[in-house]
Amino acid sequence: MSTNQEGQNDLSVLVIEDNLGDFILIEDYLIEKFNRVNITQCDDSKSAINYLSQSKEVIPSIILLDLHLPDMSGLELIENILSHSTKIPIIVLTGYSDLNLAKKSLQMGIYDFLIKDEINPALLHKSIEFAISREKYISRIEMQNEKLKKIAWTQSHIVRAPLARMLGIMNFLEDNKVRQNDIFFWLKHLRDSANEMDEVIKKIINQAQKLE
Amino acid sequence: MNKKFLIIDDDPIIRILIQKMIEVLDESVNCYPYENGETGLSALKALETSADTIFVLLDINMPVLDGWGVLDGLRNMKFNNLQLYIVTSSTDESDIIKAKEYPFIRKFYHKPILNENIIEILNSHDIK
Repeated sequence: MSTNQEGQNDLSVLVIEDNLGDFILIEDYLIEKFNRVNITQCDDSKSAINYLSQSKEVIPSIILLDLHLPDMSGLELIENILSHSTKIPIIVLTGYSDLNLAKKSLQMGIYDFLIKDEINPALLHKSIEFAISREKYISRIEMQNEKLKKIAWTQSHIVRAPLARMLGIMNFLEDNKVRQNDIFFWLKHLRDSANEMDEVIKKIINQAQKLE
Repeated sequence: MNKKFLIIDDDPIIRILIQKMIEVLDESVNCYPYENGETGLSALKALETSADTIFVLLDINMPVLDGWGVLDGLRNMKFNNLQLYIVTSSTDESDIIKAKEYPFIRKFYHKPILNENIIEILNSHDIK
C-alpha cells in the first residue's frame, strides 16, 4: 500500500455523525474522491464505541468524528473515541471554529480538525491521505522504539554478567594475598570476561545499525 | 553443628570466586557448588531434614532450571535452618519485586557479591 495514489486502494471510513444532511455530504465527497470506498455510519458515541469494540473483517482506515453527538460532545467524546479507536487515525469535523479545542484535540492524538463549512472534496481527501500516511509513519517509529527497548533490555542484562565477574575478580584480588600463579589464573579470566563483554557490545552496535 | 554453603550459579568463575571468598573468611564452612537450578534443588531436597545451617547463594538466570524454579521447588519445604540469598547480575526492579513473593529469601544482592556480603551471610544464623 505504499503507492497510495488517488482512488487506487480500498478505503474504509467510519463516519460518526448524527446529522443526516452532513453525513450525505461527507459520503458524496468520499465517493467523489475515492473510487473504492466503504462507508459505515454511527449516529452516536455509544453505537460508535460498540462498533469499534466488535471484531470485524474490515477495520476502518480512518474515523471522521463529528464533535456534537446527541449522547456526548467535545473533549469527552474525543477521549472516549480515542480510547476505543486503537490506532485508527481520527479526523474531527465540527461546525464551530474553536481554536483552543482544535489545539487540545490535536495534542490528544487527533490527526486533523476540520470546520464543516470549509470542507470540500479536495480538502477532505487531502486530510484523509495525510492522516493515513502519518499513521503509517508513526507505527513504523513505534515499532522501531519497541525494538530499541528490547535491545537495551536484553543487552544490558547480558553485558552485566561479564562485567560483574570482572568486578568480582578485582575485588577478590584487592582483598586477598594471591600467589603469583593464581594471579595469572585470575588475569586470564579477566581477559576472557573483557573479550566476552566486547562481543556483547559489538552485537549491540550491530543490532542498532540494523534498525535503519 | 556444621555450616553448609551451597553456591548455585551457572558461571564457573563466580562459583570459584565465592568459594575462595568463603574459604578465606571461615575455614569451617563446607562449600557445595552447583551449575544450575536442577542440581542445586536436588541437593537442597536431600538437606531438608539436616540439622546443619544451610546457606544458599542462588543465581536467577540459569539454564535447565532458573532461580525462580528453585524457589518454587522450595516453597513447601521446611528446613531447620535455611539462610537463602539471591545474587544476580540483573538490576531489574521487577526481579526484586518478584523476590518478595518468597518470604524465605533473606536478601537480594546484585553481582558482584562483596566480601562484606559474605560476612553478612555467614553471620545471618547468629543474628537469629
